[in-house]
Amino acid sequence: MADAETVARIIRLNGGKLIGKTRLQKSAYFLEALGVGFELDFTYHHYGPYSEELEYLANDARALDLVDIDWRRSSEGAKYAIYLDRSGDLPKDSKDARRVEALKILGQYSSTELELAATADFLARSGYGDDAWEETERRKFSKTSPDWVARAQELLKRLEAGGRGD
Amino acid sequence: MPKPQRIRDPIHDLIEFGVDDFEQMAWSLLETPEFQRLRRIRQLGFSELVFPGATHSRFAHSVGVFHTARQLAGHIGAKLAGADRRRAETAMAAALVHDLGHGPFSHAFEAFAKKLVKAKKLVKKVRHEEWTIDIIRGDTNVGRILEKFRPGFREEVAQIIAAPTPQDIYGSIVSSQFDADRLDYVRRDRVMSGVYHGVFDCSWLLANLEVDDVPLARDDEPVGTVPAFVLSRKAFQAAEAYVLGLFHLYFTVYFHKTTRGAEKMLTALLLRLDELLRDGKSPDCGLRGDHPILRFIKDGTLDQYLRLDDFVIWASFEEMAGAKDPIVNELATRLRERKLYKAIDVSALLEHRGGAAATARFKAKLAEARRAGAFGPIDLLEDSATRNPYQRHGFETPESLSKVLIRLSDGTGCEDLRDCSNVVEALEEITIFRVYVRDDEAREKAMKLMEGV
Repeated sequence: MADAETVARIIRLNGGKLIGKTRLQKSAYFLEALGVGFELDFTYHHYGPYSEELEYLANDARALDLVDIDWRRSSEGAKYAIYLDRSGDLPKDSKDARRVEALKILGQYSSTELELAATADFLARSGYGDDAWEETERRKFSKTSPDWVARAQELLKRLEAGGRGD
Repeated sequence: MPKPQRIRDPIHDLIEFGVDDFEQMAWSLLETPEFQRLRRIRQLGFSELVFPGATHSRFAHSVGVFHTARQLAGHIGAKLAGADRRRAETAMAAALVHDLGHGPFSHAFEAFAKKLVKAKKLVKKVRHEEWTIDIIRGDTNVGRILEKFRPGFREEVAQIIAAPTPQDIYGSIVSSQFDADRLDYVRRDRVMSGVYHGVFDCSWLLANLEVDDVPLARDDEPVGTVPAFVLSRKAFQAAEAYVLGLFHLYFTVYFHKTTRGAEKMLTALLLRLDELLRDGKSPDCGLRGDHPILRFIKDGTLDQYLRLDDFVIWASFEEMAGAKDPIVNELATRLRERKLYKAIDVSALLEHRGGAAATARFKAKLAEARRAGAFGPIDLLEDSATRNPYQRHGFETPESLSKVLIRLSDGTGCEDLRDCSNVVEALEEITIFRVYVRDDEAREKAMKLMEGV
């Protein structure tokens, strides 16, 4: 069962810092998909699988000083969040080692690549099956340069090799 | 001979459909069963339990959105050299059909569908946008009409709805801070609910709407420039009122505690039906075995989904009020008779007693109390909602096409409304957390939990 500490745990396992809401959402999504998640619900939003509950928990974690959010502005003026772990001691969890392994893989890919991979994975589980990539490219044609798609597909393969859940 | 058609509308007065192929096609979409279903889905769901006038349908809203989209497309046609008529048609058609996928009592039903998806049922879709896309692409009257109008047209329409951010100025008609949807519903919901929040000068905004090339950025990457809607400086106050008005409507109408409480009760009721089905006890729910609700839970198909509307749900309360199952019986009876759960507005009560941290601690205590069995399955229903006054889809969106852009005072360029309006800049995201309690006993327990947080 997810709670505010869940958010702090994800950030801590990511090295104590995590950049951007998209990365937080998609990291949590893949942990769930790999069977090492926190029972979060994800639904399809315009940016791919999204957990409203996680958004609320991130707010709670901040309110409880378990995480800090450093707001920055990109060169183009867009606001984005840097999440920092401030939780102190967290109880040990047997799944943490696998989570770290997955987060390390995810950390090698951009937020756009995570978004594409998570979207394709989610659509594959939502009735699109083998057509999931085609559908992802149709929905996200502005973000589907061949390079990004190839990298996102590679990401899914690497996660698959590590043992993805159903 | 094609015939012009007219609809009288309380917001836009006369909405006309002309005799050209596109407008005749748009009119024929209205005549499909998929579109007629929207007459039986109220735009504001249970809001009429609080605002008795708010019984307007998604049908009326959709026609209003089409009308507004046509006005916006007209601006592009008049002001953009090389305007693309075909792309404008795609945007206008998308505006017309954008709400087809709404389920009954939209948000309550989406919350229910989310649980069905999680339980790995045959139901695969949650959000109305996904169902809309299915309707457009599927073996439906709407899909066939769109495809007949122009080969590939239905896919163009589906894509403009599915796109995460507008890809061009036509996309911003369908989904942006200044899209046809919002320009209609802010006005319609205000008038029909009878509140006076959300008043803004739409005519003035449209009269001051220009088209200009603006820089486009995606994530951190500059992409170039694109034509976008820009408001002249004269519309600055009207734009502020529009953003502020929309924000206020959320807290006075859309997030009203009574409405949200009824939605939570309906979600709990539907989830109970699913439980009974899973346990092989569906006869206890009071509905006949082939009732559309039960068939949807079992099959999850588009066809079953389209058989559901507000009227089906309201009628089912009568049957379920005689259910053998006490949970179904109680929730259906209470919804039918408007004997609703009472709200405890936790975040408001704790606002000056620790704020968000106190609310988070309350949630933790509540979760613990639930685990310890302090509350029965329907004793207490939780509700979280958040609203950012100036944001799309819950994420930061740097894309220029999503923003309300205002011409700089010296006329040389434009800026985001948030960057030039102290009012808009000062608006902060608001999150609410409430619980709805079944009776005094549950209320007392919840209030006790609030002590010392």
